[in-house]
Amino acid sequence: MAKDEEKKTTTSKTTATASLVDAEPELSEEDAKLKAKLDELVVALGDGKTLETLAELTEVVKSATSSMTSVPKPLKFLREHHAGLMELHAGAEDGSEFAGKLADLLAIVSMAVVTEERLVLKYKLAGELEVESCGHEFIKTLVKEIGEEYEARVGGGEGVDDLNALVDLVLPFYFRTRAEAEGVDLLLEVERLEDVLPFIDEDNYVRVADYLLQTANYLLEPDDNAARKVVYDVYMAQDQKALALRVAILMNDRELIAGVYNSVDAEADAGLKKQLCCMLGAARVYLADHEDDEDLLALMGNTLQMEHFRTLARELDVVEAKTPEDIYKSHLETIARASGAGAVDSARANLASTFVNAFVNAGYGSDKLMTVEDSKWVYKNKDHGMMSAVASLGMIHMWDWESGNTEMDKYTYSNESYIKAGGMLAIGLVNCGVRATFDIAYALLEEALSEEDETVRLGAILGLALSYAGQNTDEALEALTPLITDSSQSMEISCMASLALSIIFVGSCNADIAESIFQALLERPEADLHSPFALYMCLGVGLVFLGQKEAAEVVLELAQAIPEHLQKVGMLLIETCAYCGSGNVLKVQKMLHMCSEHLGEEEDALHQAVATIGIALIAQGEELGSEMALRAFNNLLQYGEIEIKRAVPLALGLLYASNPKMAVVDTLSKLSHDADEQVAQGAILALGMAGAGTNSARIAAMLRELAAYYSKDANSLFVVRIAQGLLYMGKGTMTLNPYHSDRLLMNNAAMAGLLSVVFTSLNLKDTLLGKSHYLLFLFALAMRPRMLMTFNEDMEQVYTAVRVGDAVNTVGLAGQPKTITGFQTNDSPVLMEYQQRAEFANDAYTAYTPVLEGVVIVKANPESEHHAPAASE
Amino acid sequence: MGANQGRPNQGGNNGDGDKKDDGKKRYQPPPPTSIGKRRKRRKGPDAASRLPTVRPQKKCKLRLLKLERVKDYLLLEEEFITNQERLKPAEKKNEEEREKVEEIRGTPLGVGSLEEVIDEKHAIVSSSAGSEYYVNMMSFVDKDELEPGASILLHHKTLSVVGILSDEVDPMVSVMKVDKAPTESYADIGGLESQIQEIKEAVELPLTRPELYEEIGIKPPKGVILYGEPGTGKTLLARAVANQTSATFLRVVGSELIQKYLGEGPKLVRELFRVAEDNAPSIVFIDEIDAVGSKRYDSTSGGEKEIQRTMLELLNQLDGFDERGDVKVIMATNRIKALDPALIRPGRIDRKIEFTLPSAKVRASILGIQTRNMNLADDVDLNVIVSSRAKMSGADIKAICTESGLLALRERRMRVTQADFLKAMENVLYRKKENLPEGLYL
Repeated sequence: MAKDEEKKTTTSKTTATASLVDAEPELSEEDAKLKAKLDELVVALGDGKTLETLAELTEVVKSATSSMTSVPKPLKFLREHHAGLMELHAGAEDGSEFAGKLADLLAIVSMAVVTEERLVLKYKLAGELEVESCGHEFIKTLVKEIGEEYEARVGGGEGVDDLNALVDLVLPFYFRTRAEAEGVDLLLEVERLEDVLPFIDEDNYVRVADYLLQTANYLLEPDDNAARKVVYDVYMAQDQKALALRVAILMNDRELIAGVYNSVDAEADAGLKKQLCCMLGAARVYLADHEDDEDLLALMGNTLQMEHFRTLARELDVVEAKTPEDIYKSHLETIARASGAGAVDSARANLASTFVNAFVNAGYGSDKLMTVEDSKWVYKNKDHGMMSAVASLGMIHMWDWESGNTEMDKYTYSNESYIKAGGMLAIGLVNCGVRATFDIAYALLEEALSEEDETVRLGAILGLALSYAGQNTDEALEALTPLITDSSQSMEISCMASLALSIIFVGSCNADIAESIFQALLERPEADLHSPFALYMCLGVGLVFLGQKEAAEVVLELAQAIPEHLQKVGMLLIETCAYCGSGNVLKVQKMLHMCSEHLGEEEDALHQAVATIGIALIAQGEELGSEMALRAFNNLLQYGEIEIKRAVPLALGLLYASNPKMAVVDTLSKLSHDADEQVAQGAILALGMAGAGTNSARIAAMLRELAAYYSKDANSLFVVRIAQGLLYMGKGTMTLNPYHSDRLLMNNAAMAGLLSVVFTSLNLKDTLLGKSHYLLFLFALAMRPRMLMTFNEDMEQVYTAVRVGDAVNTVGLAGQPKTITGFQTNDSPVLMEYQQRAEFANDAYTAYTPVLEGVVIVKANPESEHHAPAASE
Repeated sequence: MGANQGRPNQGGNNGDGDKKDDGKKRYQPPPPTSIGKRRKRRKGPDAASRLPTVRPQKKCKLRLLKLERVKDYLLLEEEFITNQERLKPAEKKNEEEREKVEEIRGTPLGVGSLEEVIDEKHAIVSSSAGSEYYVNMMSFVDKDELEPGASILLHHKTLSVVGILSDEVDPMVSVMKVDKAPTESYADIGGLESQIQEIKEAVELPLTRPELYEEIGIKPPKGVILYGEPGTGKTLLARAVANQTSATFLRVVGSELIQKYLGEGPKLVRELFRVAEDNAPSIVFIDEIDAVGSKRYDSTSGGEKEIQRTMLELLNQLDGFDERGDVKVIMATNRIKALDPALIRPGRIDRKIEFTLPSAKVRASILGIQTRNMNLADDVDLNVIVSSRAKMSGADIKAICTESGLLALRERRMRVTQADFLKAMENVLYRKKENLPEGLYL
């Protein structure tokens, strides 16, 4: 008998392959034999109900092998006995060994039977609680049915204890066989995600965490943050503090952030602590109440940014200042400019040069217009131009909080109001993104708030916004709120004050600000609300709730009280800002609905423009969403009304800031020649934003061509110049993209800056092309070096070889796939582009964080053969 | 530390900082235009409207969620477009636009060929008369389709490029495409179970279920070679594969790749693979590969050299610098020993599938298939053929069946008898053994 049995199993192995030939109606000889044997066994089982026959039958089934895609032979033949076996089981005595074993067998056979009844699960629950001997395919089916059953039972309010018992059986199997994704899926299915923790070890935590982190993007609220919390716990359990901090920042949970931060000992783990501070600095989270060490606070406040940036510039040999003409390269413009050049008014050209100069030399501390000895550049501009010219000096000294402020002295104490206003703005730019322990800017700016001259006040308001963006400074709240609510102030002041305050409190859910803004909106006379600045009030409320999703619902209710004229726009702004980066499809749908209305001539279509930009805002930060949004924009361009068409390029610029993808650049280039002036100008600006800080030669050539094309149109030419300036921002060392840390985290303040400019650009004629060009300086909020620099624990710079290449999405892949592709190896410091990622090329150093971006603290590896070169050469 | 090292993407020459002032007016070459070089043709209509690829391919919740997200967006798009269409039918709009374009094109049109693309807007064309002109390219011409040598439509007066005559693929290659699937399916193959499984794993499944390979973390094989004695079913199996998949199936015989003129052979190979890639997923089947793939040796004959060059091109196409997408290659030969080792090294051809003479069991199943539709007399006992000791290939068995049928026909019988089979077997094997009757020298 035993011999016979053995023969059977071997034949079943060989014949399994034959099952590929499914179409064959006749059975081959072996198949027929196998079938006869099975038939015989089933009959014997029905008669004798002996355990032996059962065991034999089970053995036949289990020994079957199959090819990759087909049903094993024995199962196929047993299929017809399925009903009979079920009856047999129903007749068997409950709880007997026979019944149990039979149930086990039935569970396996049920796999081959297509029913709706979840029989595999049913019989597995009746049988022995043991799953691993049945193989992957069985577990896959079982898990599927567990998921379905769970959903049905929870829906019906029944208990799920027996299911959970099964889950507990399957899980160890999954995690032992490196099927982490399946394990996590199962836990998600039965809503027991936290139970993943016991299975985490140092081999699989990376895969589990990566998988969960990405899955969380697509889960609904509040499951997404629950999943992220589990990721946080996983990282904490594995002592990956830097990664845990990233997740905590992503969740925007200050308690968790502080939790990670305080769990690291500043003495024993100095390097790690410093790394955490740097990460917090990049995310602009300031934990003043948890730290009193000055050095660490300095790191957290980004105060070394200027120093790092200038070192980077030195290393890359781009220190030398550039003039606007170096950027324009007008000798390369194809059309002879002799005829056209005279037509453009020189004030506008000078103003453009001011901005280009500021963007290109931002942060370098020197340029060829403003910082040269007895520069008269300021006086080559007039009125608001002077203000921008002075402010541009602030951008040149950006991040230089130590000496930059004093550089501004001669302007801040000037008697000329425009110059003084520029000085205030410049102070804001100098302190932008930097948070020093002692603060000299505030007093100066606050004092200026009470100046009589409106321009000076405006400068001071924006100065405050720039220097305290995202810092939730209470003093600013007190100082600015009166300006908002006071109806005697001009609309411009009030609106700018709302914008400034909301930039300072961006993403804070501060209800007081929202209330004061609403109050202002209600109290203002109708005429005021038609001002181009009224939009900023609504944007202000939106920014306060930036990325806060459901937390904004209450305010949305309140927003219904906004006067009718602004109501739609206001509510849309708040909603899109709140769902910024969430990828929420329902919200996108709502926006598309807005855009699909065709309005009459008279109606104001501003809300459609806002909705268009809103799509970009919501879809941002997640690969699939942004690619699909691109398709939506193509449709909008095709079908939309002119107001929508005007917003599309800006939305693209926002979506692809500093990330010049070919498809986007092509679309924008087409639009930049559009017959409608505003579409074209928006597209040109968007080209600048998409290429910001990349030095992309292709975009540069496009812009040069556009400069020639628009050489007679002062307004368009101005926009082209600005775009050129943005393209070479920081001489190609900076980025505008608010996403950092491997595109996981969004910098709220940066986003606020970008949004302000984008919404401003909806009405270019009255703002950037009119007197309010200084609003362009709000880009400063989003500007940061796109670098990777390495430092040792004592914050001395070290050089080590790093590979930089395009990031590859490796989530859910088997083995240890490469994370970057098409890489180049350079010595740090290096520049990184939007879609790039870095890794160390050798083992000379190990980093305290696996995410190599920005400032990275490294530890020398004493065993390495690549001994590190000295820091200074 | 080189100063230039950390500067991966300094476009233009702005990085060199124009130290010499006179360099300012220096000529700077324009950045390369994006057009004129045919971009890698993508599947689907347009790069911008392509759907994003969803990774991982493994079946997991993440993939499900991502796919659902894409679906949601597509539903939105559908909704939006239906709404818009209701208000403003696109067809009418398109019609109008088409008319406008027609107007700009003017009549009559001339045909010319594109010589070179100068920049985004200008090109050099040659008209049918032979003279060359520097002309405008109209903005509505799809620049992605333009490549030097393409046939284009020219405006009759200004000679501007107003359209493209879609360039045909080399007619030689288009002939190779199998339009009508062969009738043979796997069911028509007797035996060869392991071969079928191997070819399925190597060719079919990578195209239909790529996730299986990703899950385990391997790259699917690029190609297989089928080898074995004549008549063992190599071509038959390839036909069955063609029948089974919906992938484009290109078949070519090795000898077809040998052309009269220098360079034509390699060009044909290139064309072949380009077509395969354009129509991906696709399967290229090269029968009788030994016609071009035999071992290289020093040869003085120009023809021989040309054949070797053709093979070298084939080598490059199989595993060259460019990544082939979903293109699988099946080759067949009965002289694998004569093939150049480079051709069948792993990486080019990852699986070598041997076709042996059928065993008794397989013979029975082949006979079963061949006699399935035959009118047999009651006395026929196929076991005689099955248990014959002579070496027999599948083709021989088929020949025996046909021969026996013919013999029966000769005698105007409606049924094939056992005697027919025995005679047929003798005939077929006699001919096969070059006129030595079976058993003569045993």
